[in-house]
Amino acid sequence: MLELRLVQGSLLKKVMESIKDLVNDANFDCSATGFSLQAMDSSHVALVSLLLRSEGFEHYRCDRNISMGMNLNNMSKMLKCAGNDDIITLKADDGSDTVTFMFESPTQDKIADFEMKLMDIDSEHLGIPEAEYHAIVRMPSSEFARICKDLSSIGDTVVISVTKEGVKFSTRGDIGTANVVCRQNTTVDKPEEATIIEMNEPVSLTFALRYMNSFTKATPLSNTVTISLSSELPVVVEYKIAEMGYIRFYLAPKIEEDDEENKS
Amino acid sequence: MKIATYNVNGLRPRISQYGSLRKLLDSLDSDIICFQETKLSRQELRADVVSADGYESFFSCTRSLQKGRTGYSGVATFCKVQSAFSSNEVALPIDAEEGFAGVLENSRGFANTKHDCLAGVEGLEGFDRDELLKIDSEGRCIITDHGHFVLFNIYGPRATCDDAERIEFKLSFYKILQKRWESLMLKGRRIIVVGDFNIAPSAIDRFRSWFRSLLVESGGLFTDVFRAKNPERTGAYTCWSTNTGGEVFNFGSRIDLIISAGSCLHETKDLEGHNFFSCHVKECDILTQFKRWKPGATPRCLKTSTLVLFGFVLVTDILALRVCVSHMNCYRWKGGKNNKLEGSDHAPVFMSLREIPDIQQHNTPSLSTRYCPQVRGCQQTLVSMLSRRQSTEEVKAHEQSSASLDEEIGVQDCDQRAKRPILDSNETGFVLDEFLTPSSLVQADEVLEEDKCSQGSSNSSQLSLRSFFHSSSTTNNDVKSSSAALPFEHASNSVGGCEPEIVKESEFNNIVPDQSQCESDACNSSQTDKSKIALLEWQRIQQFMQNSIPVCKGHSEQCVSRVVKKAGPTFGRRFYVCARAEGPASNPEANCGFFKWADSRSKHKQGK
Repeated sequence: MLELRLVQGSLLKKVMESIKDLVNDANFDCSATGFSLQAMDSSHVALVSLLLRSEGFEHYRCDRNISMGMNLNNMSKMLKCAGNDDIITLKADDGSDTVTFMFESPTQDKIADFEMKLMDIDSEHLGIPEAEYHAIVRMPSSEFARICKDLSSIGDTVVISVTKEGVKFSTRGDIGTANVVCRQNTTVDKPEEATIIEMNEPVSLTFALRYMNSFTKATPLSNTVTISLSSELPVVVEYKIAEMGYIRFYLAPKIEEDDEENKS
Repeated sequence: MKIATYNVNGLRPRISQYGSLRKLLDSLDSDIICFQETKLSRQELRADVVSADGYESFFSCTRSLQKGRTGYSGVATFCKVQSAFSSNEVALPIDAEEGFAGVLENSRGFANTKHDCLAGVEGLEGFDRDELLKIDSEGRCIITDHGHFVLFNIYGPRATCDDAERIEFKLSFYKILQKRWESLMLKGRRIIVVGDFNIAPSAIDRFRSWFRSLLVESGGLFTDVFRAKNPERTGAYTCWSTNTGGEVFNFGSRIDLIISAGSCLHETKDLEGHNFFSCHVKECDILTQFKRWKPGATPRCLKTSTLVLFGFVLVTDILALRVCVSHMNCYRWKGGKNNKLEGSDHAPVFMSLREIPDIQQHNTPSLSTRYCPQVRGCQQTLVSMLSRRQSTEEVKAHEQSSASLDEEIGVQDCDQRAKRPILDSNETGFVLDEFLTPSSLVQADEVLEEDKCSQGSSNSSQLSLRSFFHSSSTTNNDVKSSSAALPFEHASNSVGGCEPEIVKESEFNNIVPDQSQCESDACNSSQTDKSKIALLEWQRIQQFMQNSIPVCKGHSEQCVSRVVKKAGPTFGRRFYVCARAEGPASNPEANCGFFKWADSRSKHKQGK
């Protein structure tokens, strides 16, 4: 028996919007500690990891660990039927092949039940290691989304370079080049507007903007985004979900084609 | 005299590809140019897409408001002329007609008086007017009468084998078209039909047998000009499926055809062996330089550019389902470059004629877009604006003088007078045009183009997860790289093996780095162990991610993932297919036809 009651129903809607374009179907894993998801995009290049801790739910009951395979597009269709202020409850019986979404309006005068078929998805849970990163940038999420959107109109890839001075996003395309530099800035009125750079050594990596842009679909979930970079590790783009957990996107950097050719 | 036919697959993109309509037309170097699939609606007929100096144009656009049938199809015929008024050139038609069922004239709002040679369609009495209207309303035919011959520019309907309604439409399209040809033949006219027939020579269906029955070989009256001129040629295709990347291996079909019928122009025309084809057709060929796919490209580019082809792919899988790509495949992404193939998926076909004498003096038919209200009335070019005042003055003066004349003649006359200054100004406009698009700009474009190419090699490409894994291993110390190389070998083993084993293999991989982890821990305990562990762990994850994509049987290459877009029980399911372009079955380099469903399936279906 599984029963999760989330007062902030819009949060689940936002989570779904942020990953449904990247991932087709995925297993949602429920345990006593929380509700989580780990999935790859269809080309197996990017990885999404979502965690909603049990404490964040108004009511959380999970008798035994359960994994529910869902088609995210279908799930998104169902969640779109929920109002932004609705309370969402997820229910599933043990061994059932369906999951039920219940939407309650804040005034309790409307209750809607949506039952969705589950899927069988073979996927292996990958233990993602904790790592030390060369550089960690925290910046306003809307700013990051804006930069990715702007740069993608000029080029396909973004070079993210972190130095002591700040973080530089640059791209190059047929029509020209673009550089955006965000300086470290901690003297702001609101803490979420700060740009904070922690750097152990300078790092410069290239990423496909197509993926970065799809990561920024999570912008509504958090005012800030944390980008962790290391020359030998995939970048982590993390959006914290207040009092509940996080959504993290992992992406391997692109390398210079010359290098690749030399090796192969 | 040269006649060319080209399915442009959207006139606007072709115009922007060549810089201007005139450049596009000039590149075909023909006297009569027939375009199909202009994809223009009548509202979009503006001077920049319909009029070019030195050409008279005739457009037919779709009028259908049916869903999915707006802003598609559409044909256009461009005639290269010295003078649009009072000319004796064969290229300038004596008369022109939109559609072939003879029901559309009035809807254009032009007087229906001069149509004695084309209108009055015989043999169509048995058809319902609504049906005729429906056939003609999709902008699929322009008929131009060039005196010596009548030229049909057609875009045949495409019908998939499971779409009964469109097959019905296609049948009546050709049935009525044939009736029209027959009635013209009875009057002793010569007929040339050019265009995209959408009848594939390879397909064995009723359309093909219908087409065969037209030909002289089967007792018909028409000659397939290309085949008659090049009887032995193989691999002569005019259309390649963008869906399956057929251009890469020249795996296409010849659906852009030119057929002709009728007697020759010689006085001894009744003699044996004399007919329009044998006496007047000099050559006929496919302009393969318009093909998008250039064989000189390197194999690497081959990969990256085929990918782009897969943007919207329709594949016929083993279950004959039509499916569509939902995700870009990983190849494109490795390439990271947007080298879109520019151009139409068709190649133009031309036919050159000899010994075609001039005809009597005649004027441009009223169907010419020159007289189309959108071009003439609402949207004027800047140049013609400048001469507007002058011409209106002339018109006024003329009106005064010809007030007593018959109205119709007056209008026609006035048209001519009013046109003259515009024509003159068009000549100056030509100079202006040249000025506005200086050759330096074109050069700059070329430079950019080159730049793109040179960038190509230096440009970064998406690191496939494996190569990322590779590169990081070389930066490590020896212990690491040996340990990293081990799973890599296993990985290539599993690539060769069957898919179900992949998981097991990767589990095995899992163990190997774990062991080496201990080794490296022992060796380099002084170093930052944590980051090393993370690194190894990530290498394992990435290895797994990469290996979990199935490889195809034919080439042992990673497949692309697609999603079924056709409604039905499998709708929305993901599957993997060979990533290569489709080609003839004999070519092992081409798509090997590998197909595999992705793992997910509905629990309900399984009866769990």
